[in-house]
This record gives sequence, C-alpha cells and structure tokens, in this order.
Amino acid sequence: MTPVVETQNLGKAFGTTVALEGVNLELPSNQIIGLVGPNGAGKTTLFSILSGFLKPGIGSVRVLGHSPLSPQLQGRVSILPQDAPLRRGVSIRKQFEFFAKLQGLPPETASEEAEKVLTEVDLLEKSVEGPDSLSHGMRKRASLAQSFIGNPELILLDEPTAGLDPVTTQKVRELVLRKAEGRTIIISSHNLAELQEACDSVAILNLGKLIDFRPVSEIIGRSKTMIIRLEGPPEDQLTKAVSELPEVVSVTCGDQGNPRIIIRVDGSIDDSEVDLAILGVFKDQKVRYREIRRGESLEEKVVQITKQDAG
Amino acid sequence: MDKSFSQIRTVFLNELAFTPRKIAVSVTFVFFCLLWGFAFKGLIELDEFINTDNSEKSGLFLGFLMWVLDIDPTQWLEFQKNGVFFISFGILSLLTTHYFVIIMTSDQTASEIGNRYFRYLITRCGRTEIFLGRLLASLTLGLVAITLTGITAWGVDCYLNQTTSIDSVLFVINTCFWVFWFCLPFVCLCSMISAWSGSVATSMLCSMSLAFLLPKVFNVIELRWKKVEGIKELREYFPGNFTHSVLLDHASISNLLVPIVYASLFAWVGRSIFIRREFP
Repeated sequence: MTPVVETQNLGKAFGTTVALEGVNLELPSNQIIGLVGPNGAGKTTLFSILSGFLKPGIGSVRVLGHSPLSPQLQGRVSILPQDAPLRRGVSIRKQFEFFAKLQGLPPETASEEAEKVLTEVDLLEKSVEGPDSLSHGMRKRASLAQSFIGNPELILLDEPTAGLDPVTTQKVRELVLRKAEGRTIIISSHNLAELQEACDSVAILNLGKLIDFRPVSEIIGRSKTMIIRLEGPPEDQLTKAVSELPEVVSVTCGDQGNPRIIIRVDGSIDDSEVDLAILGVFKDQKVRYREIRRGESLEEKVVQITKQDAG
Repeated sequence: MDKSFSQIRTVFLNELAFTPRKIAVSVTFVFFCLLWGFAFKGLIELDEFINTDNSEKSGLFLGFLMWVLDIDPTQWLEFQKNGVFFISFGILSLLTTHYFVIIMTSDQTASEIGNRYFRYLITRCGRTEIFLGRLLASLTLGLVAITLTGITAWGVDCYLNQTTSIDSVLFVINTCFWVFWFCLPFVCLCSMISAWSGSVATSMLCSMSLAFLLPKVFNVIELRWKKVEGIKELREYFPGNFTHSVLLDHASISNLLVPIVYASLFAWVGRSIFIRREFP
C-alpha cells in the first residue's frame, strides 16, 4: 500500500536556522499519527511542507503519491493551521460554504456540508457570527471544523487542543477518533497524554531530526512495563521481593517527590499473570498503592528519548 | 479546466462580496466620493462662470486649460464642443482616478499572505485560480467606481443643460472606458506587488510610487534626448502616458494595446510570483 506521506532526506532551513534535516518518513494510511517534539523541533515546518505552504529545501516529499503542490491533492488534504485566523466580519458559515465550493461541492451541498461540520463541533448556533465575536475555544473549534469539510483523505491538525478547557479537549479527542475512520490524521501536539490515548503511532522530532517513529504501544512499552504509584517511598523489602519474581526483569524506584516503582517485565508472559504475581507481593507486604498503570507515559518516554538524542 | 474556471468564479464572487468591507477600501471609496462631490460642485460653478462671464478671468481659465492640454486656440474650438464641464471632468478623472483605484486594489493578496489566511485556501484551490479570481474582482471594483462617477457626471450635465444628448452619453462612456483602460495596468501592477510583498503597507506604497513615477520616466527620457527625432512618439509606449491623446480625441490603436500589454505582463509576473512563493 502507498504510504500517505513519504519523505526522503527532507531538509529545510530558514537562513542559518535548520528547521528540518534528513527526515525520512513513511507514514501508513488509515491511522492516527502523533507528531511530537519540543518547541522548535520542526513540527509546524513539516506540516507546512506537507501542505504546500513551504517548499522543501532539499530532499523529496510525496503526499498521497503526489507532490504537495499537485492539483491532484486539492480537497484530499486539509489542515488545521496553527495561528491562522478566519476572515473577520464574515460569518463562519459563509466562510465554510466558500471553502466547500472551492473543493468542488455544488452550492446546496456546500451549505449542507458547512452545517454538518459546524454541528459536529457544536457551533451551529454561532454559525451566523464572524470569528471575531467567538471565544478562543470556539475559534479553535471552528478552525478544526473547516478541516473536516469535504472528504479529505489526510488531515493535518497542528495543536488542535491548545488553549482548550478539559471538557472541550475531551470532545475534540472524541471527534478526531470518530473522523479517523477510513482516513489518516496526523496530530501535532504538546499534550502527550491526549496523543497517547488517540494515536496509533508517534513520530518524535528533535532539533529538526526524526529520532523515532513507532507504534505508541511499542514506545511506551505497554506490555513490558508496569508503573505503581505509592503513598510513600518504597521500602527496600518491597523492591527486593518484586525483583525476585521470575516474571520481573528489573525494578526502578522513583524519587522522594514521586514515590513509585517502575517494573519491567518479561513481555512474553501473559499480562494478567504478571499483574497478579506483583499484586500478590504488595498484599503480602501490606503495601498500599494509589495507581497502577501499564506502560510508561508517552510524556516520560518522549522526554527520555529527546534527552538521549541531545546527550 | 472546468474545475479551474469554477474555482476562479468562486474566488471572484467571494472577493467581490468581501472586498468592499475592507476598511482601506471603504475609507478610500468614501474619500473618492467626497472628492467627486467637491469636484462636481466646483465644476458646476465653473460652468456657470464660464457661460455668464466673458471677462479676463474666464479667458485666463480657458488659457490655463489650453496650456494643460497643450493645444492651440483653433484646436480649442474643436475641443470645447463637449463643454467645459465635460472637459474638466475628463481631465480630472484621467489624472486622479487611478490613484484611488490603486489604493482600493493594492491589497489583493498581501494582508492575507501576512496573516496566514491563505493556509485555508491553498490546500483546496489552485494558486493561479486564487490570484486571477482576486485580480478580476479588483478590476471589477475599479470599473464599478469609475462607472458610478461617469453616471454622476452625466446626471450633473443633464442638470446643467436641462437636457441630454447622445453625444454627452457617448462622451461619458468614452471617458469612463479610457479611465478604466488607464487604470488597468496599475491594478495589475498592484496584484504583482501584493503577491511579492505580502504586506499591505509595502504593497500600497510601492504601487503608488510606481504609478506616480512610471509616467514620469518618459519625461526624463524626453528631456535627456530631446534632440532625437521622433522621441515624442515613444511617449505612448509608457504606461499612463496616453491622457493627452485621449483628451484630444486622438486615441490610437497603440493607446488600446499598450495598457493591455503592460497589464498582461504585470499579471503574468504577479501570478508567477504567487505560485512560486512560500506562505510561512
């Protein structure tokens, strides 16, 4: 199957600042893919190249098998751009109808399509207002809604939940998951907890370079790691007893401010057996815990991977 | 091709609806109307003055007009058949309208390159279609402003003479056509600079400066090589230099062709810049 996005030795510089360097990516179709990395890692630049806003400095890019500027891509790729305003003084509904018409929809269908996407983000009641009379969150939702107009095969979402409250963030995540059926969505975000829940794979960029691209479960070691948050620092007796279990490969303790133990287990053994064995030790030792989690958090792993790369 | 035309039409209609709401455009249009309001009031008074006063003052004014138009008294007799009001209207519109049209059309793409709005359009529509749709909307806007001025001028003439004639209607149509033709390369110049600069201020400043300087380039050339035979005939090959021929009813085929050549050149260069530029 043709990858949705294929880059070879992709590089881009702005003057002396290197934004992207030697990026080789092959993104599979029908997945939600996260694009993460610290500020200045090159995420927005990569999105801009994929959307045709910027030209690659060196290397090549293919999006759905075409050059990003190809007319073949019109309406097949859409983007939620970061910090790009909709037109002031024009109702968002009219703007969406205009976008839909540009994508080739006839006027009556364009109107229906505008109504549909505005309903999906709970903005139908505000559709006659211009973006200047909407709150930040509403504007963000409106920008998100425009990326769903038509039937794009690839949707690029640059910081879709930045500045949104938790309830709206949850709604946006649910919407993205619904919309992901039969298409590819690439999300750039600093909210890694959200990406961990929503994404199938994650690409990590640092200082313009691609340093990792793997399925989320593989990155966070879901089947190989168990994290248990405790009420106080773990006793030596507890860590010793856990590490003596045959299923356990290693045990690491958290620091004073973050009381927990990170247990790496043999990934070939059934999860439930391992869980029961470890919890048995806790019961024997009469140790109380606050939270048990399978796998490390994506945030921790990204920080770890980024530090390793910098080191 | 059908999709391309459909996109140009969609962009054109959308721009036509949106452009008059831009502050720069609406404020300029108000000033344009005010200028013409004062001008028509002044022209009415002038017409009455010329028609009722045969003193030195009116003679001086006619002398001034002949000097501006560079014509002799025998040509004046032929020329004044259109009436002082229409002659003054023609001079004023041919000398000033393009500056207003430039201000109104200087932001065809610049502000939305700057504020990144184009990011919503580029994945949906071809860049050539966006550029041409907006250029056509700007030309239409200029044409509307010129036509409104012409209609008002015709109305004022009817009021002054208490009658109208086919000649006065034809004179207004002719003047409006030439004013539009005069503005054509400047609107395309605006589209080119707008696509290049990505800034409204730069676009407006460059377009105004070029509109003012381009016609003057020939004056310098003519002054420098005034002894070269036939140098005067080259004047009409510079944009914005056919006012004189039009006012004297000496318009030639080159007066028709030169603006369209410049307009096509500026539009082609502007399109080339727009489809190659980045939208950071």
